[in-house]
Amino acid sequence: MKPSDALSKDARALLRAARGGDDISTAERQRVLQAFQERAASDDTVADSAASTPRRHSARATRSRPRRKLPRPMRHAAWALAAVISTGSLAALARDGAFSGWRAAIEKVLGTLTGERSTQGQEAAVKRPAARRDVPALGEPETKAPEPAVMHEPEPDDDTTRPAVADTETARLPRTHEPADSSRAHARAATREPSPSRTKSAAPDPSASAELDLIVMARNALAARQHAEARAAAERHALRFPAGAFAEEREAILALCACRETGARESARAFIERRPDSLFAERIRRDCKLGTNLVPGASATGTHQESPPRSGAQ
Amino acid sequence: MATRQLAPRSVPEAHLAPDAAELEAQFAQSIDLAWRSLRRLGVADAVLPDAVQDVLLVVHRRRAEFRGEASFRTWVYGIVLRVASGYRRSAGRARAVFDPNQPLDSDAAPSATPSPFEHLEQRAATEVLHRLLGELPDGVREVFVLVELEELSIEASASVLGISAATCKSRLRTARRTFDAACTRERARRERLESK
Repeated sequence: MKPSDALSKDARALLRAARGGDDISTAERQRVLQAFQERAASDDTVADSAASTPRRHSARATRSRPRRKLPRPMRHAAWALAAVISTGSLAALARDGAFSGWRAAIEKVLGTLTGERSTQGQEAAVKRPAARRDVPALGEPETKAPEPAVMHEPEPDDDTTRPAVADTETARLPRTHEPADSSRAHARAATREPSPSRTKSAAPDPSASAELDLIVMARNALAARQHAEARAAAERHALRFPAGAFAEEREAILALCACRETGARESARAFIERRPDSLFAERIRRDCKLGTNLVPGASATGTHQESPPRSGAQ
Repeated sequence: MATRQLAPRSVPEAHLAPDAAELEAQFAQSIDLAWRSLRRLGVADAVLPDAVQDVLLVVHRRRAEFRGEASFRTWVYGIVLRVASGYRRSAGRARAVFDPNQPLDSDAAPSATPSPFEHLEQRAATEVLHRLLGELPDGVREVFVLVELEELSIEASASVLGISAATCKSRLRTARRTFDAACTRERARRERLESK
């Protein structure tokens, strides 16, 4: 999409002014959750009016399938959800807007579920080359639902993965690829929750390797211009690690995907506004053709020139 | 650098299976996403909570079918669109009719003065947005919501809508022009009112 196809100034101004205006409030979300809990508890008896609506599209989600019971683990999850909500975890929601109480309860109930996956994760992790785990504070290969598949692939962009993995602590520095951050106005669901890190102990954080996996997946996909995959990985990261160590990079990746695919530059603009001095800002400005006039004052000129993605991971 | 492709492969499902935290986050995300998109797709406020419930129910029931081969978000959008169209249908066509023959005057020289929309407060701007979206034909409106507002990719939007990427791109161009034209008309309307 060429930038010239983008919206008019009036349209952009309107969208900017309306941003957030359709977002659900915390109170309303609680009501939705509560109502859903009642429905979920009587899953089989509630008419699936949505599924029986005549289809207009042939999208995947609209293919009719024989209605079948949820597999057991999912069913457990649904009941756990309902149980947790009814026991008043909504109070926790109201208090801090996070789903920490919910999460704890679900994790307990789904213990077997994650246990299964952890086993599988471990088996796969063992196959991983040791070098990939060459990161401080990541003592254990075990993670929850890791993506070792990414590590197994013959990584075509050597220059992106090796330095990235070896350099995780400073991984936010843009390398020859162009991960970037953008705060997505529409990713409020992720950024709104002050999601506590999963393990608060001082022990090596197993979720850190999962987080890294997702970010590396997104980076590689972005560098290879596989934007759908990059988005999928970045969005998963947003769900699991909304405020994780690589949140900024994830947002930059999402902004770049948006710009490149459709010329939609709102998230890129929002990113620059929020983080004008980010290491990814320069990249975003250039790729999204934002120019420097949108950033009032201070960082009108890129202040971080040390990132030379000239070798062009394009 | 030579072009690289990430080998298209189906990743073993176990590696993509979500854990409890991710399930929970997906559920929360579905709520947020459904709420704001249903509004923009023309579902009336009075029935919005019901519509959101319908989406959640489908998500909940079909979650097992979603194998993570694409984005969860994209998958949910498909559900949202279908639910929205159902509600719109039952609500009747009570919106301004778009005249495809009307010249799209958004190509006129853009005004140099700042846009009157800039100073609109959020709620007012949102109302205007809904009204202008209501002037778009359904297919065009959907593309606009998915790409411009939700920032889905062309490919993802195309798959949600069940159309080709080329058709999606073309529809997006139409959507942008149409929306621009609607903004221009709205702006003119406001200026006329103010000058009275």
